Amino acid sequence: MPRPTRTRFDTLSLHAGQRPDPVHGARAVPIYQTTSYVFRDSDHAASLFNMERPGHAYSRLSNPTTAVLEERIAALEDGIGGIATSSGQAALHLAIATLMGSPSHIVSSSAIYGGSHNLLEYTLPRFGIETTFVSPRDIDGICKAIRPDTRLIFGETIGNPGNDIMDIPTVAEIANENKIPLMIDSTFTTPYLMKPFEHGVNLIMHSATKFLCGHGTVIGGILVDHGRFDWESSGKFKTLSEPYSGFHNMTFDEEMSQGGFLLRARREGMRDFGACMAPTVAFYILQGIETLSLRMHRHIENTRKIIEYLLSSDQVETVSYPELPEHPDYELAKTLLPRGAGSVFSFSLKGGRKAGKAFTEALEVFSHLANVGDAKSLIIHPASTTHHRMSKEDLEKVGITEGTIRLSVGLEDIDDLTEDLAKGLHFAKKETEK
Amino acid sequence: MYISLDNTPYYIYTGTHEPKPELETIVFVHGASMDHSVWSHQSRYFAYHGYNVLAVDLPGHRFSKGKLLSNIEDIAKWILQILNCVNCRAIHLVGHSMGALAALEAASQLRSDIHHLKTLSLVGFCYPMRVTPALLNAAKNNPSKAYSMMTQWSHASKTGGEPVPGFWSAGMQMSMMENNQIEAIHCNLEACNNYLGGEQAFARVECPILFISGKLDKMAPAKLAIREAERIKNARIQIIDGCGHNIMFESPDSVLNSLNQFIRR
Repeated sequence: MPRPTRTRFDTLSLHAGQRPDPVHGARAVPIYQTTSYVFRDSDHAASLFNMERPGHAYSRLSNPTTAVLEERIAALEDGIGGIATSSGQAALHLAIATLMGSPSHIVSSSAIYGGSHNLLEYTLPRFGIETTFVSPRDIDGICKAIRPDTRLIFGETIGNPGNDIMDIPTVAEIANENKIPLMIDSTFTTPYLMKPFEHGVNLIMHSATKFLCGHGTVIGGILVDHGRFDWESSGKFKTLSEPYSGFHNMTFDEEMSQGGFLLRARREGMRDFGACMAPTVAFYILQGIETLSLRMHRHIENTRKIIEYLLSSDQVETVSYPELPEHPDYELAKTLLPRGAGSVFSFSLKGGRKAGKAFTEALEVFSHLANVGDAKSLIIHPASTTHHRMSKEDLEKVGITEGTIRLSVGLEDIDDLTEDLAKGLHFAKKETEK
Repeated sequence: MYISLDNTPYYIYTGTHEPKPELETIVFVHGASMDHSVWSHQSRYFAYHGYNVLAVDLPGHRFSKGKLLSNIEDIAKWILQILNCVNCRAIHLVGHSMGALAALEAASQLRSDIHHLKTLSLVGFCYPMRVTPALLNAAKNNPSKAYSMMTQWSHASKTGGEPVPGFWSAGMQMSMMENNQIEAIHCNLEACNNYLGGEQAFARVECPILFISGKLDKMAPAKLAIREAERIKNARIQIIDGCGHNIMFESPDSVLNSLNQFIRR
């Protein structure tokens, strides 16, 4: 259920979490480029470290600039708070490490970012945390994968590489019935396109590197809590509901009854793992968020026009985008993503690997690189780059073809983008005809 | 810790310390549809600075079982029952909003042969605590709307910027109310609205009283607390700039400093 607010999205994007600097009157968020903060006296220092008074002691734990970003994202997501991290991967790791230890189990969507897949499939088992991967469209499979030691269900708002849309409200019900939190990676949608907490999600993570920052300038992540999961009655989360000897026997869920998860993530996770965000990085992401709705609106507008253009070409075999009726999640996307299904999508080019390579290399406005969510349009041809060692058959196993092209549509003039794509199609055709 | 009354467990936050009989005890009482953690900074500070702390979850709130109590007098009686279970003599009572009414009523009923009431602190207080019919109606028929109204009226800033790093105070308050039983909000607001014992309670309380109000409080306007403080013997008032009704989160240090100075006097 949405939480009514008196302050609307665009205003929160610009103001949430910040009051003008009371000393100098600075209107922009100041960059507090400092590692540490002067204590008033020893008692003040002790009370800060013991959480008797709010404030900053050391920038690995918290920083005034980063705190504005954390509060702003929490406001935009209708959460209770957030923790900014050095990357999206760090946010995912922080959430998992806060919730569970060895032995534990995660049920994850199989259609997730490759970096997240690596962490879950290859790295975490070394620390006693196993993951079962299930298609986000396989609701029965998700139910069956849950075990007594399952501590998290994880997925993405829009999956990779087929733009799979998870039926989040249904999966949230399953998670709730099993007293397990559901965490969603909302990187591709941002709170402008979807607010996962309204659909029953408990935790949200973002790679803020992408659309939140929006300009391809910094790496960062953020973790947001809705504050509604009952850690104590679940009986499965000792890290939150039992005394922690590493922090004066604090029981985090009791100490701050809505914010126990974030408290432990900060007081243990940031303290011990230390993957904090630098204040300058937070500043760049805050700058991006100021224009989030304007940018996302334009991203979607350009994406729809480019899809229309590609569909008109006889060189394009298929376009995978949830707003197209032939996409398997078309109906779900209409419900969950009424403002648009993102600006990252794939299409398949006739002519296979050679055509894809020629197409990509011919473009001038689209930048050939491995990232998404930039203001600039981006392109990658997996079969000749990230997946170049894989055979045709192996590519099909991960849901792509030799001619699959992934676009992240940016904010340039739409006519320049379509002209660029036309040039690429011309060179692809020439390559195919050789 | 949990205290059991009639086989019903009630949660009391103590800052991880067991109460010691030789220490003075500070009882913190939360407001309507809130819980003990509204006092998280203040209660933790005192727990680590020489006091027993009992920050209660009222019956039917957050971790406490039991039925919701529908009037201030019953809440006060319950506080006294809890105190009787703890071996302590010197007491300081601190309450916020509805909890302030309950603390006042409890202070007036405390038996001096058992307990010595040293101070009473009323935060976000006014008397009578009339609740607007629109809010009462929403609390009864559409609790989500009531949560939203209260959250909006409880914060001086529309866009946050509160001093607790990483937390969005409006979201915290919404979540706290949503996590309580759905009936709590109406039951609690009715209790505030119907309480008529304030005058008599003030007349019976002999200890020093501190009023703490946010200058921009829309739920319990500061001017009403000032009026009360001016007519009560042995009372003082602290007005905190830039704050609304959710004063313990909006300015935790100011509230703590005021309490600390008053309780240690």
